[in-house]
Amino acid sequence: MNKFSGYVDLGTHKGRLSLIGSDALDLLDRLTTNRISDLTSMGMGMGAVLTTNKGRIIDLLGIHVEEKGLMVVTSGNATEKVSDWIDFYTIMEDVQIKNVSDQTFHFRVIGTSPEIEVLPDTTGMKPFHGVQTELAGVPSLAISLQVGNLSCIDLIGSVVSGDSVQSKLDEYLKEIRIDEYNHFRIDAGEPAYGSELTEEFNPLEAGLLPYISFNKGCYIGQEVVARLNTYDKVQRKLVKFKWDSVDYELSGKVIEDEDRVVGVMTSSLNGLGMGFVRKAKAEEGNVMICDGVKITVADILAD
Amino acid sequence: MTTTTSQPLTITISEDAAVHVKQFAVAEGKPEADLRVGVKGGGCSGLTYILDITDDGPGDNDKIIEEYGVRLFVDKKSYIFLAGTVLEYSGGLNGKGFVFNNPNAKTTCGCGTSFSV
Repeated sequence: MNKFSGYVDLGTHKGRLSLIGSDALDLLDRLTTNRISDLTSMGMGMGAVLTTNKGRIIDLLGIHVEEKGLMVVTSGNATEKVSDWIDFYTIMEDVQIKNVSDQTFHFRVIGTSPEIEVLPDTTGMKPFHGVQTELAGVPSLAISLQVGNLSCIDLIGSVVSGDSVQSKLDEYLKEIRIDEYNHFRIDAGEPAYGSELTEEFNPLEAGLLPYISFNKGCYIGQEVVARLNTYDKVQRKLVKFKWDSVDYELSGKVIEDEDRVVGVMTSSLNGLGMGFVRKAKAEEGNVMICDGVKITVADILAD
Repeated sequence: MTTTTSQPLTITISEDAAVHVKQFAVAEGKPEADLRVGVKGGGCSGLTYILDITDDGPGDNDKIIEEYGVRLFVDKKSYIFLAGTVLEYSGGLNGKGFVFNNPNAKTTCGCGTSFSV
């Protein structure tokens, strides 16, 4: 993967929900794949997949404990869907959910280094864990993340002060455009909503194993996900592809091998792509055809 | 012309289930207690049944159903998912205990404790 550093404005690319109430943690534990009940103190965080009762992906969430409740980071286009899903399953629980996407800024600093003294030191901090910090005098939640092999920090705070934070970041870092970021995330094997994160696929196919607890007990979709894992029934795997020409846009095109359809390309930009292929075909170096273009498996993203 | 009258969907409890509710209430030292019936989000299929012996009395938003000497408290949102349900009891060595025969359930999970609508 390229050496890459800078920051990207994820304000609209991601969504943010505030969940407050004494049952918020327990409810999310019952709705998602990871052991959310372990988030017992402020600053702790965790990635978790929201799945349908058929074990298909709704969205990959970042769940973070704040002073007043939980901050749930969604994919931008999934925010309403996630909010409605949580709201539907809030029956007797003490949970209030609010979409705060428009009221919050969200920057991601990619390729953090200790030399950037305005950022908190997240060395040794677990992914998704966070710390309250101040940037340009603006209170922000700084979340430690790993995207591919690069350390990142997400900064979230009140949109009223977003410009001050951005100006401070500009002093130290280059702003990365969303299309550049998209290329980076494909290279890093980071799945995206609407591409890899859809109800077409399950979390095991999409390489989301790190966000699944197999001994936490029931959650929506658990029976299907557990069965797929226990009996090794995963049929497809997410892989990264490379091809020579940067001109071809292959998203949504079928992938063929020896004239048989073996998968589908789900993301593509400048000669890089991600797609799901039959498990037997998911081997590094395998060459296949997509829309007449010769493509090569560069990495297996779902083990 | 024939006219049909539709019965409002409600939640009922079988006589056998009511007997067992009373036995559990006595065993918990609450012989005058009632039964809270509800659902919550979660479980493999999406919604999980709740049964709880309670001596807290009904809540403001509860529907109260009384049958065979047992009062059932059902909050209004749970009621939407449970309307038409018959709460039965399956005893014996192979019995499942309390069973929800819920006409709204499209699918149930393997262990039968959760359902989808």
